[in-house]
Amino acid sequence: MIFILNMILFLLGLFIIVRESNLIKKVIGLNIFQSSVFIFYLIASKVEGGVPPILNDYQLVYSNPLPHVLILTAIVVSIATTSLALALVIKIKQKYNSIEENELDKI
Amino acid sequence: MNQLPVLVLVLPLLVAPILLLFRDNRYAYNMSLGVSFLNLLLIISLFQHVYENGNMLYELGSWEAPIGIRLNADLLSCYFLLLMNFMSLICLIAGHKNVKSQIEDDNIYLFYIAWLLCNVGFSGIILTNDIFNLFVFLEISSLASYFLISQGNYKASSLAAIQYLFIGSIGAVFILFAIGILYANTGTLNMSDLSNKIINNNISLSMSLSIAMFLIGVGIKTALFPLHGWLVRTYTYAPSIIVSYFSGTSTKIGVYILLRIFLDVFHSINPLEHYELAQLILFLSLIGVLLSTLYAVKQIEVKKMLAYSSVAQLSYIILAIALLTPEGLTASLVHVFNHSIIKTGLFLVVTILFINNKDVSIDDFSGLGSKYPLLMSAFLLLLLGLIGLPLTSGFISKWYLVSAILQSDYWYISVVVLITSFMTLFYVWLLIEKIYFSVSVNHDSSIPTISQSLCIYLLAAITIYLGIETSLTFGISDQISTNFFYNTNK
Repeated sequence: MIFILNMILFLLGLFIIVRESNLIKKVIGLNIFQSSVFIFYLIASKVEGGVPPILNDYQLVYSNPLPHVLILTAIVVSIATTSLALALVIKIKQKYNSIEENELDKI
Repeated sequence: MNQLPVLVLVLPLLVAPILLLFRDNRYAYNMSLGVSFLNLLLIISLFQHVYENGNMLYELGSWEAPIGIRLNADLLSCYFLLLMNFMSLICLIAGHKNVKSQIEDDNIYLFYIAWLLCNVGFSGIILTNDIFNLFVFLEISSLASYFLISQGNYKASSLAAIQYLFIGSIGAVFILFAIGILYANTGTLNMSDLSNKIINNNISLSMSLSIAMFLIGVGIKTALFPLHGWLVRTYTYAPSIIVSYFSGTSTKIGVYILLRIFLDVFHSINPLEHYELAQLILFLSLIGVLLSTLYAVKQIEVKKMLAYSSVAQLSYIILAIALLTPEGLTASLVHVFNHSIIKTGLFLVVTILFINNKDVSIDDFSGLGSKYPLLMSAFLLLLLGLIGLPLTSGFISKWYLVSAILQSDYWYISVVVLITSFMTLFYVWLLIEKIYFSVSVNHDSSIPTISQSLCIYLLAAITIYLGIETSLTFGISDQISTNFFYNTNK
């Protein structure tokens, strides 16, 4: 079930990037798109009845910590992408005085 | 000697932040030139070592492979590594004057830092044996390349950069998703470990989803036919020196990822044979070859024409891989090398001659043959290589391509290859005619410096050399494809 919700999020993000013409909205769409994959990693790492992997004597079932670490890296990448995209949007706004893609394509 | 693979990556990564502290344009240029040169030397010795002694592994931090991250230098990686770093060095040398005049003064040192990072990203993708690392390096190189593209002095450069950012990020996220599915299925990220573990799994639904996502992500990177729109756009609006650099490297990285994932990681289930995926790719790349050659003939702007021709040549490369025969793989590898040299050379000539001219049309070339006889004869050689006339490296790759097609089940495709090669003659002839048989107009072409011309001569000489002596390209490629298909000494 949660996978299906996640896939909906994935498609929604992709749809926003492709359909929207406002560049800021596209950046938001990109973020939703990336987050859906992050959530997918976290869902996959969850073990039924597992606890956070802190070593002790009485808990033997742990959730997999590796995807969390991977996603930390991916989040950093996503932040870098977002900030670069926003910087480019500022430059475009300065040059054209517009951030609507369908208007920009005509110029 | 054992440290070679990691040095290739660490050296530029160390230098880049130091350059950021100095904020000095000249220093940045000299250092990036020095680092690129040193890197090339390291790679050549690495290549030699791998050629003689087989694979070279490096465990980062001495953590053993499935747990730690491993760098793996095999012949395929060395082949691409040599190509990428050679191209980077040549473009750095030839592009110095252009960078000075095209890029804003405050940004030049940042430009070179981004260039170094971009190149580290490429080298990292090639060297790493960890599939998640591949994604990270892919993003390093992509982020740097978005910045590089946005530095063009066209009005639409930032727009082209952000559009490339969107499509490139979509591709990267697809690859990330595919990696996640693979990890969920096998519990490992190490490529050699993955290829061992995938044997036990039959192709499940999730595995085929992962394959499809890899294909989309890689398809975007290689500009596979329906996903090629970004390439023409970025090549038109990026700084011309970056176009020369990317034409030999950025898309070839996609080809490398395709080979690594589909022929190495998925080695045992061979996904291209399932679901008639190979036929689909063949079909797409055939359409790609035909359409983009047609578009190239129609263009009057030289950079656009060469960009469309790049899409066509990339489609040849993908087509040869999709034949799924050892001969096809060899042909595609040979063509990767030859096409990079030729296309980078062609773009470099355009870059060097028209520093300030924004849209270079074919007419701008009229009468240049008498003005720069030597440079133009080198240009002519490269153009002939693009068509694939004998004695140039283009002929060698077309020859292996056609003979690989004839040996496979799809012999009729060779007709398309021959027709499109003939069509290449049309747009190349337009250029040649202008250069040699047309009266000179008053054009604002700039005089090339000695180092710039030397780079062009070097590339033209390599084109001829590789057209006669093929042990570097064909010999190595043949060995790589034998390793892949018959799995000897892997």
